[in-house]
Amino acid sequence: MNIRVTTTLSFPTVVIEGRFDAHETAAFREVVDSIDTPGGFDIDLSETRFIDSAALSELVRAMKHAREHGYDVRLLRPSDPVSVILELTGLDLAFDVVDHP
Amino acid sequence: MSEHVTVGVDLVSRLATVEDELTRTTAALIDAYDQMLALYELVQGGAASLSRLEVVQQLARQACQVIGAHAVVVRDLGDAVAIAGDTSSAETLLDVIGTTGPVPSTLLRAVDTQSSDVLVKRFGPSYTGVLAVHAPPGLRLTTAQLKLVDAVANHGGQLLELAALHEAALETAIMERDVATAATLAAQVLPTRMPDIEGIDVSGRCDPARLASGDYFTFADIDDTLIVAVGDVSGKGLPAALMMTTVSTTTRSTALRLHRRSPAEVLQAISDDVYEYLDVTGMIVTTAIVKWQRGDDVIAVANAGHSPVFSVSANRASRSCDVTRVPPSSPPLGVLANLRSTVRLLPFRPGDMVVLGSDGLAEQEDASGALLGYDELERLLAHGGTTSSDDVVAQLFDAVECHGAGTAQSDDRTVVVLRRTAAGATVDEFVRRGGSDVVSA
Repeated sequence: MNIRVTTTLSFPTVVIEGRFDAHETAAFREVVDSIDTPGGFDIDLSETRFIDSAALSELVRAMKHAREHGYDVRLLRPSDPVSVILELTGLDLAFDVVDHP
Repeated sequence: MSEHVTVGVDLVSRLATVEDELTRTTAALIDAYDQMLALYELVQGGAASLSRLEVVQQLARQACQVIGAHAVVVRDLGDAVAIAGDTSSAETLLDVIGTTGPVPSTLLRAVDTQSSDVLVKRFGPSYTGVLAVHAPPGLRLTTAQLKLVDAVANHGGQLLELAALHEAALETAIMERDVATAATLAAQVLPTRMPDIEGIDVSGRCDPARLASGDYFTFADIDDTLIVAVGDVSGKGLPAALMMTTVSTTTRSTALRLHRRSPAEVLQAISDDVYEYLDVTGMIVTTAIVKWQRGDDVIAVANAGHSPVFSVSANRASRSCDVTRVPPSSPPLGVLANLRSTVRLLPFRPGDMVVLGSDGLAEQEDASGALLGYDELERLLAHGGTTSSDDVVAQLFDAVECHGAGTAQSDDRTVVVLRRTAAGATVDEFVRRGGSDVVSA
């Protein structure tokens, strides 16, 4: 997995490329916890080719943390494999999923 | 005459001197022999099964003999300390090197020509061992003794390293035993016997990917109602298994308590019970629940983020089976504090089946990384509708194992199959009995 943060007009987006699984959750958490921009951030999943249940838990954790602080985390352009998993787990009902930002 | 007497006295005196020398030489030879024996024991003595304290004790005793010291103190940075020889001199050594923590590298040797010669030598990997030697009172350590100190220190380093490896291996073995015990305990919550109910044939199986499973299934058979739940805790291994035991137990007790309510209401009650626990641990749990009342030709399903539930009905016209998937109507437990799901009613006439599985089936990869997929599971079920539940479970596991041949099991695998065997109430009759959260039939 490759994870990086891009910033557009001071708003950060966490970009996850490759396989996002239990081995990568610590790196994801470190990056997300280091973002202290008021108003939150987006997560770009367009280049994420696999996601497992441990990684889904991390997305949920990030979403809960954001909502506790009064903002939301959007999932941007999830790839086909990720979209399928989000639908299969009903998490598309919990997240703000944006296909065409 | 007097000359003879003088010669005689000289001879006696010389004889006495020679006897003294002989005694000293004999004593020295005995000491040397003892030292050689001690050196032999030191070299032969293994540390493969000794603790660090035992190594330190053995080393102090043998070093004192080998070196011919008045006292010896050996300790490591883990604070295992042993003394040998004269107690008073050993206490002097302890004052020099202390009983805990690292020894300063400047502490090497202190020679007081009137009373003592003290040598401190650090040894072992990263200088974790300390050897302090006190020469006999009034004597200095000889060159030979200094070389013996070096030899003992080098050997002591190897012994401590072996002991550290031995202790690490012991800790690993204890941890592995604890994990195995915890996994065995966790597995106890999974049912070992299937419900024996007239009109329905039930079979279930759960295969963990590792030692312990995060998947579970459970039954609540009470009055005229059977509730079946299948769940999957996020993650794998022991943390998932520990959470699984909690959620599984809560699910069964809630289902028994609320067996008159709909599956969606049971799910909501379970969520209310476990949400905070899941929130603290950062885990989520997918769960699907089905409820069947004896004799009914319909079964109710609620799905919170779990793999699709399959409904398989015989189609006499096409001589195959129609397969319907029930996707989740809500996210998994642990995502939202206030979980709301809906109920889907499925036909459950004699010959029909309902199959609840975990994602470890469809998401098993083959050697090229391709998933088995839900379409393939559906195809398999479409051709297995007339066999027993046990056969369907076995066929599904065989198919998954065949697909994943040559690759590791990527996730826990669980299947529960319910197959209807006798006639009963229709869908319309079921809906007339009520159910505000029923959305379709």
